[in-house]
Amino acid sequence: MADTTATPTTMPAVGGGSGGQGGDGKLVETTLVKWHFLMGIAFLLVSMLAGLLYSMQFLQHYPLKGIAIFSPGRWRFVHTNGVAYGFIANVFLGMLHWVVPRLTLRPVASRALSYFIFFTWQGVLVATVVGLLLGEAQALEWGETPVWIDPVALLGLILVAINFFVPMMKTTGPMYVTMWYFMAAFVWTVLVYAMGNFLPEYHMNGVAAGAIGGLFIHDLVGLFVTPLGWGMMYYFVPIILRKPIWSHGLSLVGFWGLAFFYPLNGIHHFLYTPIPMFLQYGAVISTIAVELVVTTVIVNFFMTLRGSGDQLRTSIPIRWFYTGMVFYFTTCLQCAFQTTLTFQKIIHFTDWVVGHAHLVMFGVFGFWLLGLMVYLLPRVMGRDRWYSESLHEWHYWITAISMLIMFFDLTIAGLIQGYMWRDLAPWEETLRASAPFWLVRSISGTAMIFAQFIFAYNVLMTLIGKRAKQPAGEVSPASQEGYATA
Amino acid sequence: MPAAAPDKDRAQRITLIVFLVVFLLPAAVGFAIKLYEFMAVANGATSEGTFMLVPVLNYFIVFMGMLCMLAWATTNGMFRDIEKPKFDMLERERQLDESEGVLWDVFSSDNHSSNKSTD
Ligand code: HEM
Ligand code: HEM
Repeated sequence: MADTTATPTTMPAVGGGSGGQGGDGKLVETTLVKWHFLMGIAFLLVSMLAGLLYSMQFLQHYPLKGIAIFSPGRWRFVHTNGVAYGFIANVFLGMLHWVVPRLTLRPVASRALSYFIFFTWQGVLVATVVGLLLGEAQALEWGETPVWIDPVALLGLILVAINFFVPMMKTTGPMYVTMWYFMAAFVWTVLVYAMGNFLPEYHMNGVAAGAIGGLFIHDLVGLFVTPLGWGMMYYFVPIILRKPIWSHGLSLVGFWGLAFFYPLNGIHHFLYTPIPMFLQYGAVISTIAVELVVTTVIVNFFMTLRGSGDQLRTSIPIRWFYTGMVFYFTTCLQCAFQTTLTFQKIIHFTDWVVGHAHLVMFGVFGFWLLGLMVYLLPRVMGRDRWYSESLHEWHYWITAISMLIMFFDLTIAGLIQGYMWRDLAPWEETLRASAPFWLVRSISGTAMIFAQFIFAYNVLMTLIGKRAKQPAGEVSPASQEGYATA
Repeated sequence: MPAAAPDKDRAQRITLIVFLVVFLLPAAVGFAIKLYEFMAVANGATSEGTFMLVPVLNYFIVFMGMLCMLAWATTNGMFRDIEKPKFDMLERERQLDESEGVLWDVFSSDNHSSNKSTD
């Protein structure tokens, strides 16, 4: 049992990190990182197109009317499941294959298992899309995956946990915060998935099943996406900035705060329901407590950036990361209001919530994952640099601006809808008032998709471009500029 | 800037304590109240909400797991030298990168003086 806290004197082969060559004894299986990233990008494009398609229904110009497999509701599921399990989960898996071995200095438990998980996961995703399009969705929010896929997906998650736990458990000594987040995420994700997909399906009904549903939705975003996202930021930001995180102690306060208070939040999805009021109040209060947890994270990252602000200009990954953090703070501030019963009266069921969902899922975690891929893709593809640096600028600016437009558009639409409903305006009138906002959503969505195609083009051209001139292990410092564009 | 180091330490410690007091304490009180109300429901003091026992129990199971982990971490000295892991992680990564030929040209020893802890 080696102590990972001690600085190692001999480094294991990293697996041709920059060159991507195979070979035994390597630490990181770069091919897998690359495959997960590429599949993540593919699912991002497909699910965004699905979102755009569905948004046409709101404009009453749905292009594929009357064809069962193109019925808009089914494409909404493809959109939401695609972004969560196809884009976010795939890129996270790639990231874990890079980070865990480097943090623990040990490869994953089994490389064969990693490949098995990769193919199983893509199989689960394709089966989910096909099942949803054939109308086999379950009536469970965020658990719409066809019922026969649930056990396979759960098995996949257990295998993922085992594969990464083995190297983690072999380390000794005080752990870096990223490891805390990852370890907890593996356990939580398995538990949350089992709870959300099996309890309401087989054991419970009525309001209790609803409460479990709420717990499931929130725990999925809070105990799967959030810890992996934060853990990833605590790892990559110091590395790119070349300086340690401001306060490791504070980062641990954030971790334990998340661990104890996030699971209490679930019921804030079902305020004003028959769920007992003491639980609803409890959820509101613990949601506000989580805001403070989030603040610890934000404070830590901005204190770390102090003195390195120019990196926001020169390093594209850092720019994605910190834009995501600003959005995170924005959306969490928004959440502190939206979770109160006063705001709930107005905004529940409106587009305000959809605005929140997009800002946090894409504007925060999506942006972090894009930054990660900008940083790592050339290395795992064995390239010196990106095909084009200016395409990164286009990608960043179009995405960030269209994301902001979509967020404000949906937030304002939500407020208008909420107030009109409160004042008992006729339904048709509220639809008419919402229509311009839905048009703006579709337009900003189109811009967002366009930007992702720019990124995909840059990836493709980098991939088919020249391999790194130097063999693995001899990449010049200049190649770093490929990741930190000037 | 070696002279600034003690100030930085102090700032970190104060921030840590402020956050602990500002949110861990109220959250602990809130949690105790919830626990009390939950017990009341379970004991049948109120008929309202017995159907919520399973969902809430679910939370407690996870909570107990986290509590065990916290106890294990504390007894295993995970928080003893609390700032050390951040320096180790960075140093390890620098060595890994350099073993691949990716040199950390802007790496500042000021930021990151080997395994020295600030605590
Ligand atoms: C501390 C931060 C957060 C708070 C306080 C918060 C609060 C809320 C609340 C109160 C709702 C329900 C609104 C309603 O239906 O009236 C909601 C919905 C939602 N949140 Fe969050 N949220 C937070 C973070 C996140 C994160 C990190 C994600 C994603 C990674 C996320 C994704 C969502 C989604 C997708 C919904 C819509 C769920 C649905 O389909 O019904 N949230 N959030
Ligand atoms: C091309 C841009 C996009 C468009 C046009 C779009 C459109 C839509 C539409 C029309 C809905 C349904 C809202 C409703 O039922 O009222 C939706 C839901 C959702 N989308 Fe998107 N979307 C886009 C990109 C994304 C991305 C990139 C993500 C995440 C990475 C995402 C995450 C979600 C989530 C989580 C929901 C569920 C919200 C809820 O239930 O409250 N979307 N989107």
